[in-house]
Amino acid sequence: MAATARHNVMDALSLPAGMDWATEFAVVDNLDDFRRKIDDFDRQIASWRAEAIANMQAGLGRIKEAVKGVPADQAWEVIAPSFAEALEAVGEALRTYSRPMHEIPEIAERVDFLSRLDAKSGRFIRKQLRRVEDVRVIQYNALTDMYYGLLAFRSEFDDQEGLSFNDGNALGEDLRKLLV
Amino acid sequence: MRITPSGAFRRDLRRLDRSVAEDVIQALELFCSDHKAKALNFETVRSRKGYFTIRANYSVRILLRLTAPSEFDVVAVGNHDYIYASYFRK
Repeated sequence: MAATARHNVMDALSLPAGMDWATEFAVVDNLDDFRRKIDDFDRQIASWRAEAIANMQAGLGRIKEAVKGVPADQAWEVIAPSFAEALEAVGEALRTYSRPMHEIPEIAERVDFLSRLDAKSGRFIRKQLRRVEDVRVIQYNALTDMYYGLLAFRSEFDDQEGLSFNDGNALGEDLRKLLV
Repeated sequence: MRITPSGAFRRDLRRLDRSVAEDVIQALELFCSDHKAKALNFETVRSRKGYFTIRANYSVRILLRLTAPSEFDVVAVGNHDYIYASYFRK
């Protein structure tokens, strides 16, 4: 059971390789190439996202199946090490997309160069960078959703007991006792 | 609204900086009285059915599990938030 579950966790939560923006754009020296790179970026990132989400959902289902009937604490002991790696991988991917592309120094330098090519290029570049920024935000938010999906999965192995509250003040008072 | 903080959430809360923990508690107090408050930015977790998040501060969200109509378990605290576009201007 342990080996199967561990393999499933690795399999389910391994993210496809991401795109290295700085390297990709460092070689662009004309506006057509710039647009083509952004088209590629748009396509690659959408397929990356679809693959990663599908992988994760199917994989988490397989993990649940593999540990069915095993006490939650024992099951979690098996899953935990790979799960921590998976969570770290999502965190790393989030860091990759945490900064707008036009703020990455290598790309800012290229953008600056391309903007000066002719009179209309500035407007063209702004339009393309808006596209990239929209894609980045969609990607970042999808990763954030995956992150909370993973935390949700983890919570299903936790102890479910606890006091319930209908009153916000009573809840706050109870929780503040933990901070003392 | 009936709220049940789980053991794991309580452990998460103890590990947080005091000011962040206070943000989390205040968000839950607000959620108890007005779960639709705009400041909470209530979001559905699309990758796991039955889960939702609310905002505690700009980088921390609280994970909730719907257990019955108007009943939620508070299951975890996460240190990532959704973002908005920051367009290039020059």
